[in-house]
This record gives sequence, C-alpha cells and structure tokens, in this order.
Amino acid sequence: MGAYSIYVTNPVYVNDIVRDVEAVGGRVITVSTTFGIVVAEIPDSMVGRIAAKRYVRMVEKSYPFEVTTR
Amino acid sequence: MGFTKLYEVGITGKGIRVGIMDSGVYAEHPWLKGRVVVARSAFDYEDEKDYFGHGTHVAGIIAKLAPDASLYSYKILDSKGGGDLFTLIKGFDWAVNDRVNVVNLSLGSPVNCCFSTIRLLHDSSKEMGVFPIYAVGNFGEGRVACPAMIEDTIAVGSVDVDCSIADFTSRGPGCFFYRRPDTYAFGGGSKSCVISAWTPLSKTRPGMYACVRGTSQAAPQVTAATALFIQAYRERFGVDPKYDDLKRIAEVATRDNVLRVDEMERAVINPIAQLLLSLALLLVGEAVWRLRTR
Repeated sequence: MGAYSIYVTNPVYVNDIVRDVEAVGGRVITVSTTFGIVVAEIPDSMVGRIAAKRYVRMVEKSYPFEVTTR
Repeated sequence: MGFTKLYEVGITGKGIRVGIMDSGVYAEHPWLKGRVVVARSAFDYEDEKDYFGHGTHVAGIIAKLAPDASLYSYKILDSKGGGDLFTLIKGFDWAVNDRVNVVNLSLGSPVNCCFSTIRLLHDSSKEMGVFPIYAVGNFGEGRVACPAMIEDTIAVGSVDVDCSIADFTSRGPGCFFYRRPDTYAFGGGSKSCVISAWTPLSKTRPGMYACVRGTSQAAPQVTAATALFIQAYRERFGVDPKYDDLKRIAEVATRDNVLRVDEMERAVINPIAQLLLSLALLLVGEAVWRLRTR
C-alpha cells in the first residue's frame, strides 16, 4: 500500500476516481476539486489499473520538499 | 529608485493578497501583527502556527516590503521544515480558492519534476490568476531545485552584498535545458544575511529576529515586488497582468542590465515605461543595480 496523487483530465471525474480507488481497496486521503487531484492510498499492485483509466492524466508517488535556507 | 519611491506614490501592495506556502507564520510577531488574514495547516498533527521559524522569516520580508498587502499563510512544511507533494497540492488548492494574487514558495526538492503533478499545478494556478514565485534552491552550479527547474516558472536566485551571485545559488539547466534562475534578489551570501522576523516558538533558534541566508530569502523580495507591480498594473489598466509577461520582464530586466534600465529611465514621461522601470529595478534588486552602475 502506498500513497499516490491521481490527476484526472477534468475535475468532473473526481467522483469517478474516488469510486475506482475504493473499488480496488484503497483509501482516499484528500480531494482537490479545484485541480482534479485525488490523493489516495492504493495497493501497489492496483496502481496500474487506476492509471489505465481513460480520465486519468497522471499517477505519481509523493516526494519530499524542504526549505531553501542555508 | 527602489521600493520607497513606490510607497511615496501609494504603491504599497494595498488590496493584494500574498500567499506564503511555508512552515506557517507566527502572527503575533511585532512585524506581523494584524497582517495575517488567513492561516491554514496541511497537517493533522500540527496547527497553523510556525514551530520552525522559516515561514515567519519569509513573511517578515514580504510584510516589510509590501506594507499594505494581506498575508495568507499556508503551512505545508512541518515543525522540522519538511513537507511533500501532497501538502503542496493542498497549498495550491487553498491559494486558488482564496483568490490569492501572488504566492511565495521558498522551498524545493532535489528530484526531477519536469513531468510531474507540480507542472500541472503551476500551469493551472497561473491560469487561475495565482502567480507562484519560487526559490531556485541552494545546490550551487549545475543543479536546480524542483519546482524552480520547470522552465515557465519565475525562479529567483540570490546575490551577496558585493553584488556577486551567491555561490550557493542553484544555477544551470532546468527542464528542457532552460537556464535557471530567471532573476536575482539579495538573499545573503558568504559575507551577509537577511535580517527578518523569527519565531519565539522555534526550539532551535529562539528570538524575535534572525539573520538567515539562502534563495528562500531572495524569493520573498520578488514576491513583494510582484505584489506592488500587480497593484500598480491594476490601478493603471484596470486588469491584472499576465504571469508570462511578468516572467518576460523579469528575464529581460536581469539579462539586459543597466543599459536597458537607463533607456527606460530617460523615457519616464511615459507612465507605462515608468512602471516597467520600477518593476525592472524591483525585480533585479538594488544589489544588481549597483553592480551595473559602479
């Protein structure tokens, strides 16, 4: 299980992707209807299935950020 | 000509909403009292206060240079100064929904994000009228931080008091080999630093003010300059400027140095030219101005 951001081609598909995530046994963490992004925990073996949906633009694992002060 | 000249003509950031995506802001600091309009936290385990100090320092710089701008604090870095892609998404979501005009991101990641969610977030935000300004990072020559590596962002590097580019400033090819950064501002260097507000909540460096260096300190100056520019542009033309125009002006002002600035200075009868001159000077910073005129 890993956390992924799922960017859909149009924010109107957000509800569809939430349904898809739950269908594969995942858990939705946050939803941005402004951008059409769903952050969710998905079983790693199911990521391909989510990414293959026609309304999914990008699936990406998180990476860290830190301050740019020395 | 610097910020003070603009204050004299009423360009103070009035009516401009400035977002700060950072470690939160200590709103009770003497420099920031009454300035923070909205404060949010992306973390379940931490409130919106600044327990790290960085966000308060950045906010202090913006508050001082854009004295009438409203500050919107989005805490996307925790008490250890760390965040991730998911907290960044939340920050952008808030900024767009709060209709913030310009947002400062003094943060970065060493990963390659040329084909990332961040590019899409950036593009969508600027289309929705939010201007993100990014610190270019402190990796030195040859390596640029994400998201500043994305070619159509405004990426800010740091210059020292002697007007030289600070050795720690990230510079080099970004995505598709576009040279980064676009512009520079004073962010301290080997011999100097930027004094601004600090938070007494910080466990490591307690106190009300601190002297810190980095591109994190340069970016807020360009953010404040952008806030002033948006106000001036709005008052002059009745609409907000476009992000890409602002980026182009920043690039040209930095690249073409004083010759161009001189030409514009002689043409100040034209209010638009005066506006551009003001922006050019503000964006490149007085440090670069001194470098070119000495």
